[in-house]
Amino acid sequence: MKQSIKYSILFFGLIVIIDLISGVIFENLFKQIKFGDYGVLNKSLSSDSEILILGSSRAVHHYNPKIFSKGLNKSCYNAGFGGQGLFLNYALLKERIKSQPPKIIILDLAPNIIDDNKTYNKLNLLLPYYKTHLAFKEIIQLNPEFSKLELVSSLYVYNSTLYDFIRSLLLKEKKSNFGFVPLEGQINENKFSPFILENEKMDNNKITYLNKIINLCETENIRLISVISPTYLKFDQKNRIIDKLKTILNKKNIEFYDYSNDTSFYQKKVFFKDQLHLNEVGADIFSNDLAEKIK
Amino acid sequence: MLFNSIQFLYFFPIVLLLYFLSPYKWRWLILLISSYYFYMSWNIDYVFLILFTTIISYGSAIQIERSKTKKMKQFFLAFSLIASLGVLFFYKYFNFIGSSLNELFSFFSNPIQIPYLKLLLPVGISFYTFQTLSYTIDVYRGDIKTEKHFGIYALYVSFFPQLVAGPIERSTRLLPQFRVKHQLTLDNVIKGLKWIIFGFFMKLVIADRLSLYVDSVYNNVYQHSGMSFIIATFLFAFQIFGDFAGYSSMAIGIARIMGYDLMTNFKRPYFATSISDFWHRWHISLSTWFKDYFYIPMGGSRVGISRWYLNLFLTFLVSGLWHGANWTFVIWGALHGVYIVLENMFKLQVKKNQKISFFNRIFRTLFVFILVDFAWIFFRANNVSDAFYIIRNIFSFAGEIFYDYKVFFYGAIGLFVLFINDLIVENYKDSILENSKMNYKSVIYFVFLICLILFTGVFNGGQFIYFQF
Repeated sequence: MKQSIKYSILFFGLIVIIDLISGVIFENLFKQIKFGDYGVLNKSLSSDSEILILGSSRAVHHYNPKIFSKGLNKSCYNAGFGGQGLFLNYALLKERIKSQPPKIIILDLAPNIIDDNKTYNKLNLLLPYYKTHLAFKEIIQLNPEFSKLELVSSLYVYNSTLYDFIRSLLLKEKKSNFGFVPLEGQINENKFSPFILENEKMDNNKITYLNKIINLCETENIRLISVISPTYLKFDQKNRIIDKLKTILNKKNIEFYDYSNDTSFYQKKVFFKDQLHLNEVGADIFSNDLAEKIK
Repeated sequence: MLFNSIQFLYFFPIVLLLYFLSPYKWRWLILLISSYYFYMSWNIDYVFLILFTTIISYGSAIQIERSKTKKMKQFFLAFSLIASLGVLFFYKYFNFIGSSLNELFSFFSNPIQIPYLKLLLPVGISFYTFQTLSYTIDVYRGDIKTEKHFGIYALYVSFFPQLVAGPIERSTRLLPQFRVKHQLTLDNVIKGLKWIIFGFFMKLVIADRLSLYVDSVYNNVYQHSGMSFIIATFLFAFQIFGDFAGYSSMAIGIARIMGYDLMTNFKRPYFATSISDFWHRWHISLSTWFKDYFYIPMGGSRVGISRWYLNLFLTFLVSGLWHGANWTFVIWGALHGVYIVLENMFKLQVKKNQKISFFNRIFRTLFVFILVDFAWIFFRANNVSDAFYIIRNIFSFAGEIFYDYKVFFYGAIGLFVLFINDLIVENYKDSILENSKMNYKSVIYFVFLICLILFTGVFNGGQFIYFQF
């Protein structure tokens, strides 16, 4: 019995000590992560570009910052992030404003950006920023399943960062594309089922955060350009989600460019990697076209 | 409510506290309410089905015991089996059989259409139905006296640690345990925590990590190549093992803390040297259930040789159907049936106490793994055409490999730890989990597992695969 109690104390004691030490180490190492999701976020937070591109994976693969920099004669960074949406866009913008407010925001609006697709648990990915970035704290708390218990363990907070830590230590960064990730290859029509916006339910939280981004740009005097970038298939123009987006943007007189049914891209295999993402060729043509329009 | 959810983190300590603080005579009630609450957290409506099955099997068993003639006993047994299996059939198989028949009718240009019903499959229905069946059959056989206390019987059917995904307990083992006055002992807490930690490791570090790759490939088969199919199928073998064995470990651990002893459901199945050895190590509670209540009543091996092979094949075929209402599961079961028949036909098993060389053992283990893993293609594929597409393309080495370095990296860490753990237990028969004695080695091992879970586990993974069965 005595032995068991002794080992039980040792067991819990070791966990606490390891967790505390890991917390201190990871907090310092975390900012140095250059690769993976956290590398992208760290760079987005530390960039001081005049143009900031926001959005989800479509933003990451569609907007070539070098083209925008050249066309508009301003520095540009693509802070798009796959799998996240307006919540992260808002948090990134809010944090950027604290250090160096951008002059132009290009906000890519995926056709399903405000639908009710229950992706809140993805916000847990942002836990390492909870204590250091207030805007991130705000959006993490939107996740109904989030509990402050999750912050008790540092190992948990820095969960799944080991791979990126090791890569950052061992590998050198390739030439920077300023956040842009071009996709190679062409769409194979035989290999996909059409993307349909079936879910027309809207998420009020997402609408709130779209409005917050608009208001933030208004207050900070940032030019906001909203774009629905090209898609391989046409979207139903009567779709309630796209209608709602247009209503919000029109009401606030936001610049809006809709490429979702643009005939120069529609069903042109040579421009697409898959039905929602342009390939490198398509991305460059689109970036040039948009840069010309927003000059 | 999943074991790996925040809700359960609140639920279990409260149940534990209430259970051990209550007077002995009310403890069954605490557990019964907790179990029903646990079950209702999925869907309140489910509770009526479990209650129905409980009442039917409880009443039938009493009638079986009271009946004086064999005919009457058989009548009540049949009534209970038909009612319990009827519910299972309706909720799990109605649409499957309906759509299969519709396809058959349309083939013969017959206009009959069986309607598709919008039914939500109740979580764990196959598990608790089988548990009630074994009880009724045991009573009929005279292996156990009926449980007169309805509350305790209802608890046997709904005991929350094993309610939704097993182990499928036998009345002879579990029912008497509800009559015992359990104490909260350090010994049980240590053993229980070890099982739970290991279960979390299996689920969060292995299963949910590997599922990220497997799901990407198996849910979009037409976008992937042969090499990706090989990798995904290899990883699925460990995903399903981690998922199911992980759940069983947690169930055993949770029950153990309360003083209950649930049966071991997995014994390092991928170290099996034959298919029959595999089934002695994989989902043991189900395979022994089928042996006792299906295979042996059909005559088992005490019949003519061709009938014996048929019995073996049918047992695995029905076991496949038990897993899910889809032809993929039927084919999966049939494949195992064919494996086992061929194995018996050519006498390929290693006999008890037979010594085999190291290389023979390695070869056998790899061969059995390949056969089992091949069958997993049907188990995991979303439909039969996907499964055949994978099989047609799996050996064409053309096309891009889908790389997910994070899955490979963290998956490799988890699988390495699992391999070493299982190798030690397999060769030294040292059950790390069942040993309540603590020493420096076990403290370091379990601290390491916890750190690994926290640092590399996937915490927003889906439900347990076996919940759908």
